[in-house]
Amino acid sequence: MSKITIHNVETGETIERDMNDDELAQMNQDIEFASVLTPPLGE
Amino acid sequence: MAISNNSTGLRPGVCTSSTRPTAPYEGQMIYETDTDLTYVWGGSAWQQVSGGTAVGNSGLVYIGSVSAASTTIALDSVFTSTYDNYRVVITTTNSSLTGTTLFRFRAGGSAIATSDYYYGGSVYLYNTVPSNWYTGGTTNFPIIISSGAVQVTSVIDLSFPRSANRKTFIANSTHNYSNYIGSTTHGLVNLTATDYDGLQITQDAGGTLTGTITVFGYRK
Repeated sequence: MSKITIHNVETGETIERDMNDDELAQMNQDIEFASVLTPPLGE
Repeated sequence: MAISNNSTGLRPGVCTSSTRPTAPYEGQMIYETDTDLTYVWGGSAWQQVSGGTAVGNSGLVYIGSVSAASTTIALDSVFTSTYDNYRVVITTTNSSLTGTTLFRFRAGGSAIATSDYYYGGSVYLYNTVPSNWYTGGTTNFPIIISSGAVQVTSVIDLSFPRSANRKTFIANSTHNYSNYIGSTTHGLVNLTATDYDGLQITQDAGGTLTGTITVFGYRK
């Protein structure tokens, strides 16, 4: 499960929850975008 | 013992830089009227305390931090009218997947994913030939590659995240993977006319990042 942790500096509150549909859609955007940038590692 | 007075405040010993106490006791505090600086006697020397006009307009001020092991790690209400410029330090010690750590601004509790992120810079990754990251119109800034138990540090100097027309920053990052070192140095611009108040990191591969984001303000 994809999780997001958010700390609000003003209130001092930290919440941890599952990512919502909108946030997951943004994550999928990221995967498409950055696959070009990420080379194989440790070779 | 606590000393508190909301109407007048606490006043340390007042002197000038040429009339400091000749036999100070450890912990004694003085304020010099000619330099506008505050000092504490440390037992062998006077230690300058922050404050006063000479140092009051310089230096970094801690604002807040968050530590987590999550897909997305975010800080809200961290950019305010108190400061124009900020230093963001991101350290991660583990990522469950191999991928690029990505930076996004936030406003009002949500990530800003408009295609207005532009950047350019140099990249050196492990034993590969140095290359460049440069593009525009993306939905986030790439910061650095992370994979497994890799120590990663990013130091970002960020200007005017609350401005309607100028949001620029310089990011320097490095990571350590086995015997290899990777690094990125790049400048970034965001064109969205939004008053940002926060930031977040995530990873393009959707892995869990374990780390800490700390934000400081440059004292005006």
